[in-house]
Amino acid sequence: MIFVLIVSAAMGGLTWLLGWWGVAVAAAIVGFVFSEYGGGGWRVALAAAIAWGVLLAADGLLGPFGMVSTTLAGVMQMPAAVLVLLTLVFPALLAWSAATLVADARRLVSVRRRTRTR
Amino acid sequence: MLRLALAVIALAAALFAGARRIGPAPALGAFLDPAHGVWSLARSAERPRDAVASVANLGGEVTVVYDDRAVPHIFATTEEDAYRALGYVTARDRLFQLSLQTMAASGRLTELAGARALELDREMRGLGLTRSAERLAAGAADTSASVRRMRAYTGGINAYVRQLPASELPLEFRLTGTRPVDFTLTDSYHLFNRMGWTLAYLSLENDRAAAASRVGVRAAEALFPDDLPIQEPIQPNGQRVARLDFAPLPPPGAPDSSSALSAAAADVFFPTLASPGNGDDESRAMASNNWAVAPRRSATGHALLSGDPHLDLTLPSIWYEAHLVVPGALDVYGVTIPGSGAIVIGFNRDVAWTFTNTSADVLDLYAEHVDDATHPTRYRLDGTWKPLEQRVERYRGPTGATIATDTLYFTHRGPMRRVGGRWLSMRWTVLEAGTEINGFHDAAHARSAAELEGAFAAWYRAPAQNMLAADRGGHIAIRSTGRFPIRPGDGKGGTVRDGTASASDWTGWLAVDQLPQSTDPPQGYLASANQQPIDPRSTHQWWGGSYDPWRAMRINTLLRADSAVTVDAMRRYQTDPGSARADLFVPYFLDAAQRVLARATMDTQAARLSEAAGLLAQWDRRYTRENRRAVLFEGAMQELVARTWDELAMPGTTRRAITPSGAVLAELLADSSSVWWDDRSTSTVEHRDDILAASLVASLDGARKKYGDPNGDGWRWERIRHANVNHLLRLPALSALEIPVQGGPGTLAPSSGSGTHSASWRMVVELGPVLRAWATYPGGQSGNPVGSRYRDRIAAWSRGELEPVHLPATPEQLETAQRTSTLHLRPAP
Repeated sequence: MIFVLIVSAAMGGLTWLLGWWGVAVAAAIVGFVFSEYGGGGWRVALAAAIAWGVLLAADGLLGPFGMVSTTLAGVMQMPAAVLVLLTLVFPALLAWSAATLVADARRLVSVRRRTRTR
Repeated sequence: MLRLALAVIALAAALFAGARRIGPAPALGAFLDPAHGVWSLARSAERPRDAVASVANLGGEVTVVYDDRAVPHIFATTEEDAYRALGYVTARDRLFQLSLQTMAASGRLTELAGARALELDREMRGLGLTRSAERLAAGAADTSASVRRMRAYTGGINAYVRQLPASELPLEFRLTGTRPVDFTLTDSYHLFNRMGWTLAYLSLENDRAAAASRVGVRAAEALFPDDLPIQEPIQPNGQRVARLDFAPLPPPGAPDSSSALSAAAADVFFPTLASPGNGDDESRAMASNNWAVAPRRSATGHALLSGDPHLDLTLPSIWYEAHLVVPGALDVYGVTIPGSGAIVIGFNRDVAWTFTNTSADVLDLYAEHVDDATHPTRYRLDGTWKPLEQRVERYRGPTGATIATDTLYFTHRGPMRRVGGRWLSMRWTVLEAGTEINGFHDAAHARSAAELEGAFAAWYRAPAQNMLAADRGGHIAIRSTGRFPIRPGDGKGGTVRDGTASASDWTGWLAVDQLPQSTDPPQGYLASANQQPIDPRSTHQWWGGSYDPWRAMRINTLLRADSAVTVDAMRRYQTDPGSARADLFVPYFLDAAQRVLARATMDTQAARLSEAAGLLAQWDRRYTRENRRAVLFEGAMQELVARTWDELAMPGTTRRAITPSGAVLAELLADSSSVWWDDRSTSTVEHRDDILAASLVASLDGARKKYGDPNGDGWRWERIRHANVNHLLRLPALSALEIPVQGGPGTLAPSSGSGTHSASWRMVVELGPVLRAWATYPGGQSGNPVGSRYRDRIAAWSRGELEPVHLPATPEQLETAQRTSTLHLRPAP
């Protein structure tokens, strides 16, 4: 759980600094560091969703979140809940895929190096 | 390996959807990002209580205090600073509107919407509006105080754009995937030209040619007369009631093929004016009202002024309300059009002013002789060849790629276009304007109605407007302000002129003292509602003006009857539900029904006619929201128009080429046996009463079928006619639709057709020792759809209510309870 919270804090911070790319960057770093554990797997996805969820909650605390979600739902012609869900699923997918890709690629490279050394 | 492949696919998909637009959907990454994306709009939905910003080129600190109506009161030490701050706060509230209006006005909508906007852009550029704005900006000299103020204003806009936080980027930019760009002086001229296009792009040639192509020239001239048969002119003529100059209409003649060139010209030059032909003609139902009452007819003994311009209703509104104060130099309050850099309608401490459109004919067409029918380089004038100016226009798509290219041609008169194998050029006052901003800036300093008129006389060219003023000295004045061409020959502009002779050209502009005007008339009030400005019996000059007279008749009736007008009465008149149109037509319907019933046998048809007449007789001729009889009258009027003007139908269809005005239909009513009444689809010959009775019965049948029982709620006027305030991108979720309002076709607050055109700004000013004013408009000050100030005024506007405006002379005079926010603008280091 601590892992998830730390990664989540990093993703939230990088999102604030870099925008949505921050999630991919943080996930890639996590994937590289924890490649032996598959890049963190679903926990990285969960961390990304939590990061954006917290930022979303901050938006809600600082302004008329209901008005924003209702307006967006009207413009996008979809239920507001779907938009919120999309806002959580999108970084989760991005984080999982980036972390997994980097982790698996690193492991693949390591295995090949070991094979060549032998 | 499977997991790796899955991760590659998922990442590619996430990155693609995150970075690229897919169809109309925005790129999801930046859009959904809760730190900077669309959700962050929640954080900037409301203004902070206190904010500070640095603005380049500001001379000194400017304090902007927002009141409880979200109106910015700008306190500066120089006028340039005041206008720079106006640019800043306008951008802060209306950035997307500024951007979209500029794109529309400069013919660059394709850059947002792609090829589907190409025809709109082609019209703007093809008319020479873009070229005109660019020339004006190129020639603008900084030695002019107004030009310096305009540059300061655009600088204020750009200062905001450059420091715009990502979280405050307006929703519409996020949806369209665009970014705001720098606003230029040229863009301001584009917007003024756009107003000219909206208000003065009128073609009498179009109407007459369309009618002549069906019923011949003589009948067409009678159906679209220079002088309307109902006269209630702006310049008072001493009459106590509107005068009816009714005369029998000549019978329909054979279609006139020689009108083909004019008709084709109308299609090329006026594609957006192509007459709808059928239905209630919305173009004649729109426009504006203004009136002023002299102290001796007002209850408080002070002059009163009502401003009531009608335009397309949009969210955000075309107007932005603001107050500019420079101690000892400037203290002006009113509404500005975002991008214009001036208070367009409003008041200072001494004088108030407002406008209605003149609808004057200030546009002529000329048949040109060119050296090459397909690729001309020269045109013939007075026996010699003159070079044509050529200009290549490129239309770019959202990606920047060129999607179309046009070569435009210009003679000394203006743009030249190919029409039916011939080349026609156009001269239009709007293309020769450009100094209006000086008039608005000078008007802000006027101390009397006379000074105000002087400011506009010196600078205002187009679009010609009926400028009404009232001052604290108790004077009221109106003048048709702008340039009116002097034409050779009969002085009229209803035909295509010979372009090969300079003798066809305009020879100058009418002098100011020749313009329609009146100051402190004996009747004690002045009113304009786009009607003909001068009684044609007292002038040889033709001023144009083809709007129906119903609003002018009604406001004159109300003002004549009230010798002690109050501020509240001025407000009530703005949404008065009475109708001069109904007052004129209803008795004809009822009398016709009575006569037809008297000679009819009592069959089913007669019973329905009797019932319809009984229901119509119950109507008080007022378009109140709860009224259940207005719908019957409106249905009958539509039937009457369709059955009467069947001669104007296009071959093989029931669709009319053009529909004459309601005033001409009223004129026809006086001639009960005119051949125009005959319904050509029947074997019998109908007269007026037959058509009126049949229209009434058809209306009852139709209304019952559509709305149910006549006494049921389905017949309530508020269920049938609404105001619709569309968002600029016409997104329903960002629009305010189906708003119940009082008023109908021809009432002072007209409600007709699609309901997208109505009172865009309502203002009442009392010019006493201390000036007081009340105002509103359908929308809100903020362009942010998620903010509480986006549409907060619509409910009160729909009820016809006005809000008192605050007029602090210093920031401290605005009480704490009336303040919502303060912005300090400081010179950038």
